[in-house]
Amino acid sequence: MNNEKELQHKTATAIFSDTSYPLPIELRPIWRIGLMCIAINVVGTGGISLKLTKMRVLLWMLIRPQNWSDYYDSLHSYSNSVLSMSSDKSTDKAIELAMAKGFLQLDSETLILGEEGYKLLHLVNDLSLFNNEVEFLHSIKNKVTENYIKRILGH
Amino acid sequence: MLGLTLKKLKVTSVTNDGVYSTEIPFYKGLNIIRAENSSGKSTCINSIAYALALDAILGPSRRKPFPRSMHQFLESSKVDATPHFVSQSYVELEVENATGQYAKFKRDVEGDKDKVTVFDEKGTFEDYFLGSAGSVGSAKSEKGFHFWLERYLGWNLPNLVTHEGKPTRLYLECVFPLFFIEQKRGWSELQANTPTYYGIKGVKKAALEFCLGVENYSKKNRLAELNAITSSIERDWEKIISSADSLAEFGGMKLQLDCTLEKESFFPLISFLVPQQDQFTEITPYLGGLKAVLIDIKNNIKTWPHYNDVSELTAKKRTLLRDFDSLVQKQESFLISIQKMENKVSNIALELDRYRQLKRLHDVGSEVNFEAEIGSCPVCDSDMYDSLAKVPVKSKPLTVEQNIGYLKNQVDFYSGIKKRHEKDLKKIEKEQALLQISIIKIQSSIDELKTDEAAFIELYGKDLKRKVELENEINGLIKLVSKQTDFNERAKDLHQQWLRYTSELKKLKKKSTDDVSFKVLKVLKTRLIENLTAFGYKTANQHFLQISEQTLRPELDGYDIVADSSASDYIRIIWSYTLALLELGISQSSVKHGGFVVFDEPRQHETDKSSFASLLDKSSSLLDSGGQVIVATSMSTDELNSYELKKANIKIFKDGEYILKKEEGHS
Repeated sequence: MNNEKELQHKTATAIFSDTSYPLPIELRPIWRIGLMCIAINVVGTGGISLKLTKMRVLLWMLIRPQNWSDYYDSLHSYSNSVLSMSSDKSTDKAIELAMAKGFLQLDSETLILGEEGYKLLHLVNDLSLFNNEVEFLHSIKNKVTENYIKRILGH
Repeated sequence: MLGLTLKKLKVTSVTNDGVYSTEIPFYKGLNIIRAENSSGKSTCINSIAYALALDAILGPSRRKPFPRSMHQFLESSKVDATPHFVSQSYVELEVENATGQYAKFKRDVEGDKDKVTVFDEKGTFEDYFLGSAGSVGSAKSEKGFHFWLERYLGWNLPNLVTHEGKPTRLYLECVFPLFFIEQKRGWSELQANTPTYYGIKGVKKAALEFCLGVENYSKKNRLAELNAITSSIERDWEKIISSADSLAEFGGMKLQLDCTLEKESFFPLISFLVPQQDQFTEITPYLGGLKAVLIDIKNNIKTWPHYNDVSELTAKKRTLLRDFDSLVQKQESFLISIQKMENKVSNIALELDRYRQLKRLHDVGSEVNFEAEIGSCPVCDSDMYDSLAKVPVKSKPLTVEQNIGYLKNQVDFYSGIKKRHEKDLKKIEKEQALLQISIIKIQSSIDELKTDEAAFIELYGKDLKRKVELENEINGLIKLVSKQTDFNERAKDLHQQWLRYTSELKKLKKKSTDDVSFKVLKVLKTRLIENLTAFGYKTANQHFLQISEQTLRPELDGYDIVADSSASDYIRIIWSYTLALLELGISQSSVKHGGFVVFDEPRQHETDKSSFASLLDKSSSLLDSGGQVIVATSMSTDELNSYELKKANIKIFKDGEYILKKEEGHS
C-alpha cells in the first residue's frame, strides 16, 4: 500500500534516446522518386509524361503492396469498392524534391521525365529493381483511366 | 290495555248568525248517535278521528271530511234555508288515557288545520303541529301531535321498512282503521282505510301484530335468517355431491352416497367405488391391496447391476469432453496467433526485400555517380536527412543499411514466436487426439452397457412396467382418497351446522306456538267465533275458522274469508273481529287497543234485526269492563226503542233538525 502511495506522488519524466530510428521504405525519398519514374515509364504517355493527379493515385497504390489485390479487383470492376484516398504530404515532398533534383519536370499539371529520371530508370532496369511494382503497374495500367481518377477525386 | 276513553265531543261552527255547536258525551259501554241522514251524524263521527288528527283513516279522498256546514255556510234548520256563513269552526274532544290522565284536543276545521291544541285539566294548553314540519313528521318530532299522542297512549310503535327497503315506522293512522269503521269504505273489508301511501311493507299485518302484541320482530328476523342459513347449507351439501359426482365420472368410479342431511347419525357422505371385475369395491381397501402388490413387486424385482457404472462412465465422458473443448479453444487461439505472425513476417520480409533493392540502388548508384541518397536540400543546399517525413532535431533515421539490419532482426523475432506457437499447437493437437481416443473408448463402453441393459429389460421388463403402472394408479387413488376425505369433512361440518341451525329453527317454531302470541291468537279466535255465533253468522261452520298466522286475519280453510262470504256475513265478520279486538284489549294487557270502536252505520246490507240486536247487546255488555262502542245510525227512533237497550247512552237527534244548533246567548 505504502509503495503505491509513493508512486502516486512521484512525477514521471519521459526520456528519449538520441539513437536513430527505423524508417518505412516509402519515406525514403529516392524510393518514392524511383516509383514515380517507373510509373511514368509504364503508365505514362509514351513512357515519358504522366498527369500529376494520376501520379498521386498511382503512388498511393504503389506504396501499399498489401492492398494491391484489392486495387486490382476494384479497377477491373470485380468489386464495387472505390479506392479511398487522402492527402499524402510525403508524395508532395517527393515530387518537389524530384523536380528540384532534375528527376522530373512539371508542365501544366503533367510530370515529364527529366534527365536524372532517365538515369534512375536505367539503373532500375539494369539492376532489375521494382519488379513487383512494375508488374502491378502493367496489370492495371489500362484501367487507370481519366474517368477512374475523376471517380476517386469525386468529380 | 285500552288506550283512550272518550269523554265528550264538541263540534263548533262560528257563523255570522252566531255560534252553532253540538256536544255529545261518551260513556263506557254502548254509545249510540241516532240522527236521520244528512243531518250531521257523520260530521260527529268524523270529528272524533279529526280531533285525533287521524283524518287519513276516513278514506283516501277525505281531504275535507266535513260537510259545508263546517267551512262554508250552514242553515239553522231544514225548514229555514237561510245560509249563515262560517267564519271559524273547530272540534274538541275530551279524553282520558289508561292512567286516567285527562286531555282535551282542539283542532280547527276552518282556521289553522295544521295544529292540535292540547289542554290539561287545569286549562293550560300547548300546540302540537300536524303533518310534516320540515323533514320531520308529526310522529317523529317532539312537537308533533302524534309523537305526543303515542306517548299519551303509552304505546311504542315499531320500526319497519318501506317497499324500497328504507327504514320507517308504524304510524297511528295505520293502527286505528282496526277500531274505526267509517261509513263509506269501512265495511268493504277489514282495515279498509289503512293508508298505503307510506309504502310500508306488510302494513296491515304490522298494525295487527302491534295491536295484538305479537310483534316479535327480532324472532321473526331470526326465523328468516335461520331459514336462509339452512337453505344455504342445503345448497352447499348439494354442491359437494355434484362435485363428487363429476370427479367420480372423470375417474371412472361409481359414487355411493351413504347419508342424507336429515339423518340423525352421520356416516361418510361420499364413497368412491372402484370398478373391479363386474363389481365395485371401496377405494380404501382397494388401495391397500394395490400397495401390497407393489411392495411384493418391489421386493422381487431384479435391478440391473450396472446403473452406477453407466453413470460413472457418463460423468467421465462429460469431463473429457469439457477438456477437449478447452483444447479446441487453445488450438484456435494458437492458429490465429500463428496466422498473425505469418502476416507480420511476410510484411516485414516485403519491406526487407525493398530495402535490399534500395541498397543495391545505393551501392550501384554510387559506382555510376548517381546520387541515390539525398543528403542536402536541392534549394538551399543545407543538410537533409534521407526521409520524406519530418526529422526530429535530436534523432535521425537509420541508414538504409542499419534499417536492413533492423528489419532482419524483426523477421527473426517474429519467426521465432511463430515457430514456438507452431510447436505448442502440435502438442495440443496430440493431446486432442489422445482425448478423442479416450472418449471413443468410454462411449463404446457405455454403448455396450446400454445393450446389456436393453437385454435385461427385455428379460425382466414386465415387472418394471407393472411397477410403474401400479405407482401411477396408487398416486391417482391417493389423490382421490384425499379428495374423498376432504368432501366428507366438509359434509360433516355442514351436517353439524345444519343440525345446530335446524334445531334452533324447530325450537323457535315450537316456541311460537307456546308463547303469549299464540295464546292471544287463540283467545282472538275464541272471541271471534263467539261473536260470529251471537251475530248469526251463517256461512259454513264457523268452527272451521282460523286466525291466519300469516295475516292474523280470519281465514276459512286457508282462504281469506272475504272470498267465501256473503255480503251480510262479511259485515258480521267485521263486527265480530272489531269487537273481539276490543274484548282482547280489555282482557289482555299485551294487547294495545285504542280503547273505543266506532261503527258508522253498522246495519249495512239490511243485516237482519236480530243480528243487529245481538251486536248492540254485546256492545252494551262492555259497560262494566271499560270498552267503548260508538255507533252512529240513521234507523228510526221507533226501531231503536224496540231494542229496549237499558245500558246504553243514546243521543237522539230528531228528524228534520241539524245536529249543529245555535248556542243560547250568542248572537
